Amino acid sequence: MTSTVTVFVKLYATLTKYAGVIIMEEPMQVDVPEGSTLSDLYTRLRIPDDEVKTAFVNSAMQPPEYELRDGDHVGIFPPVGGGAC
Amino acid sequence: MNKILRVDMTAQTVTEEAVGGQYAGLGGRGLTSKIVNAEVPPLCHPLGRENKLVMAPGLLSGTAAPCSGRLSVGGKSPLTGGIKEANAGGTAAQRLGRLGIAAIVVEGEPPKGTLWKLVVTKSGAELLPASEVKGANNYKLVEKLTKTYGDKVSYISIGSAGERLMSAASVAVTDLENRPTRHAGRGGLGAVMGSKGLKAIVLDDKGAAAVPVSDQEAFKQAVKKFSMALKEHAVTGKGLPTYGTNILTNIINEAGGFPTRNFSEGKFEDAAKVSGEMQREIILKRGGVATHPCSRGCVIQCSRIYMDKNKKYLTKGPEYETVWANGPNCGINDLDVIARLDRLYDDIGLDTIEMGATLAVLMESGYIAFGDGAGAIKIIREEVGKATPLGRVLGNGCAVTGQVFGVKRVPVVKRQALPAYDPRAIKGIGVTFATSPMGADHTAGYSITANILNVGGTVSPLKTEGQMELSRNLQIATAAIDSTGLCLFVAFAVLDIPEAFEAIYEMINAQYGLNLGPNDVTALGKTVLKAELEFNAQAGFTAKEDRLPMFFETEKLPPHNTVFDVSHEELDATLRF
Ligand code: SF4
Repeated sequence: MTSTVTVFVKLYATLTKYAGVIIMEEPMQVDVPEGSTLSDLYTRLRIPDDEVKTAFVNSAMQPPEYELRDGDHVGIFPPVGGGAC
Repeated sequence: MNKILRVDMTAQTVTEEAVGGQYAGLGGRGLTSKIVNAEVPPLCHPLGRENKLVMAPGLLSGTAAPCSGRLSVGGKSPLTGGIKEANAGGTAAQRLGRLGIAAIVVEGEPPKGTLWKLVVTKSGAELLPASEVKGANNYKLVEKLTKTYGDKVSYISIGSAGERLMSAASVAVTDLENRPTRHAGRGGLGAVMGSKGLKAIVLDDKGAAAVPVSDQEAFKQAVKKFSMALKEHAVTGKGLPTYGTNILTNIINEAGGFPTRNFSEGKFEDAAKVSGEMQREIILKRGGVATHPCSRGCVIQCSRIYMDKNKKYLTKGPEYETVWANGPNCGINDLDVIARLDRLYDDIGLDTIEMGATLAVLMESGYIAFGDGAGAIKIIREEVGKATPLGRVLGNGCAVTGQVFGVKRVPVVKRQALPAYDPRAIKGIGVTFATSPMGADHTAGYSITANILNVGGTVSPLKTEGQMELSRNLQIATAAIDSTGLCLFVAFAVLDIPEAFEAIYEMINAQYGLNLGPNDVTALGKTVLKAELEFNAQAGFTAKEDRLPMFFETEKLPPHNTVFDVSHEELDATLRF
């Protein structure tokens, strides 16, 4: 039996549709097998790879190969940009 | 665009001159900064007769080039004491382009107590008394002027803050709905306009001929190429049109670089409540407009129209920096409060960033509490709006307010408030804040692109490596883009899609019959920056003005618990080229 890790995920902007909501105010709890990467998490949430531009784990930007750890807070973004000019 | 209008407020005359000599071939920021550097004594008082207020559309303004409606406003800044260029969208730049005007230069000083408006039409320009609108704020002012001049013109104006010479006063430009919502906000240029006794400029381009384009076919091709790139890029084609600039709230917050409660933390617990996603929902629910151009011919359309709870027009959709400055930076989590502040700022004629940062410093002093939205609205309306002594302190910005209230954490560079990114967690933008001749200004070299958004490459935001080069290159490119009249948001596409960059000089070449290449664009950016740096040096700026306030180097910012540690040597080398 493989053990699992629990992560807390927030999807943003156009990606919220993969959680079936318009805005995610609270993170969703997701259990993944130990050893899962961010990329595995995208697959699990059915988010096509090319829709993810940037992901933060505990406020630090991480690549798709990042291996998830128990209690990680993950924020996933499509391409975004703005500011005021 | 072949003429400069000289408006002499001392004699109340307007003269035309041909663009030539050192000003030939320049537009936008390039032209305002060149004129200010050549003609304004750097040691003059910003509100005195020697200062000049310069307004210039970009090289492409008035043509069919997409997103080419930016107006540059320049002068010596009463806020920073250095050179200033602030730019705004809205409809004015396109009309100036069509009127063939490369710049309006307002100079001299009117007889004490007099107030004027400048009316520009195809057949000429004249200064007329404007005492009937004395003290009017921007919305009322535009309403009154519209009765005489109609709504098919552009209005450039100041509210009461500009008339009262406040250092946070903005210059307002009307949008496509004839509302004064687009502001050249930064650096107090509204006070310079006020010091010239100039309340408003009316631009009427009725009957003006189309802007001459040297090679129509080549121009059309380049426009097509440029539009396609803007539509194709995910940020300019999808992110900005869908969510507006406030799409940034969540990502800057996730990155731990979202300055909260006067730069004391890097994450705000209620970011979702003020996010671009939430703003979109509110706008749609209340029958506002969620995708909207601020000027004719914009294909990105990041602007929006915000309704109040009764579904009545309140203001434009507040931009990301406005939301941040007056929201999380003040511990406020309510978009309606922020929108009401935005409306007040547009009306009184104030920089939303400077004022939000000022409110946060006031809150830090304990005068009102963090999170007190009703208190903030009351202070802006009753104190700043009525220019009470407290209102005058606040209307002169963050540095003055910090000094008056004895606050130590005052986030300014060159006395201008830092925008919505904490330089301890996003170091590349810290280099721009420290070194830009404009004072702390995100638009001067938007390192957020590579630091956070993975646009134009990737440079880790928490490390010091690569930040100097990133900021330098962006500052050079920005100075060039700001000279074209193109909205800076085109940069998201330009940084990633080579055709978009090519299309910029191809459009300029086709319009003016030139043969510019990529190196000329870089050279232009450098020339502009050099003029600005030269002015500041002569105004007395030294390397010590190119520093962040020391608390950024000593106080750790949660959640990363980092400080700003790009070396002073690197800061000094940033704009040495
Ligand atoms: S992208 Fe936004 S700010 Fe720029 S011109 Fe278009 S609507 Fe205005």
